[in-house]
Amino acid sequence: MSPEAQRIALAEARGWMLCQARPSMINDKPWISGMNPSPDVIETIIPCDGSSPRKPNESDYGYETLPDYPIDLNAIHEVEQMLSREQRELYIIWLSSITQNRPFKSYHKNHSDTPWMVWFVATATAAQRLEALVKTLNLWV
Amino acid sequence: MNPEAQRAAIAKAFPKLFRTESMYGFCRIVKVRENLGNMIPCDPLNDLNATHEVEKMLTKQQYVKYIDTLLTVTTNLRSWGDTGHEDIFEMIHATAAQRLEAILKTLDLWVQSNES
Repeated sequence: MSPEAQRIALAEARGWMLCQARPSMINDKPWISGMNPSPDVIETIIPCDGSSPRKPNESDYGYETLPDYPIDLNAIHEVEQMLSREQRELYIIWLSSITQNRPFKSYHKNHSDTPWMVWFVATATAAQRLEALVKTLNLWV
Repeated sequence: MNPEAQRAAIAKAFPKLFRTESMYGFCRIVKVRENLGNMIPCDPLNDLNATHEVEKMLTKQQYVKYIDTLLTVTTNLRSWGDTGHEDIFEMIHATAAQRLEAILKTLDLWVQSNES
C-alpha cells in the first residue's frame, strides 16, 4: 500500500470525504485533497467584486489538502490521541513489528525486551506510525 | 525551566538545526533548512517534527539516556520493571514539550527553576 493510499485511507477513517489525488499547479507531485469534516470556520465572505460582505454558505467550503501523515508527526499525534485502549495495545505491537522489521507478534507486559523494543518505537518516524495506524485500524489493503 | 529558556537552550545546543532570530523586536527560533539557505519559524516546544530532528542528532550513548529520561518524563516511572502497554503508549505518544524536556535533561541542559 503506497504512502499516498495510506494517507487517504487514514484521512477517510477520520471523516474526510471525496479524497483524491489531483494534478498540482505548483509542482509534479499530485495534490491530495478532500472535504474536511471539520474545516476552519469562515466568519464572513468578502467578495472580490466589491459587493457587500455576506455570511458564508455551504458552497464556500471546498477541497482542502489532506493532513500529510507520511511526513507530519503532529498530524499523526492527533490520530494517536483517538485510539481506544485496545487499539493502543495493537498499535504498539504493529509499530514494534514495523520499526524492528520483525514479524507481527504478541507483546507481553513483562516481555524481557521492553527497553529494546521501546528503543525503536519511541522515536518512530511519521511514515512508520502511519503504517502502524493503518494496520491497527484494519485499513491495510 | 520556562519555555523561552528551553527554546534558547536547544537552539544553542543544535546550531545546525536551529537559530534564534530577532525580528521586529521579538526573538523567535527558526529551523535551518539545509541547501536552501533560508529559514522557517519553528517551535520545538510544540512541533514534533522539530524534536524528531533533534532526536536523530543524539549519539547512541545519549539515546540510551534519552529513552530512560523520556520514560520518567511521560510516566513518572524510573525503571522498566513495571511498565505496561499504557506506559509504553504514553512514551510513544509523548508531546513535543515532553520530548524537549527529556532531551535537555539528557544533555544536562535542564535547569530546575521555581517556575518548573
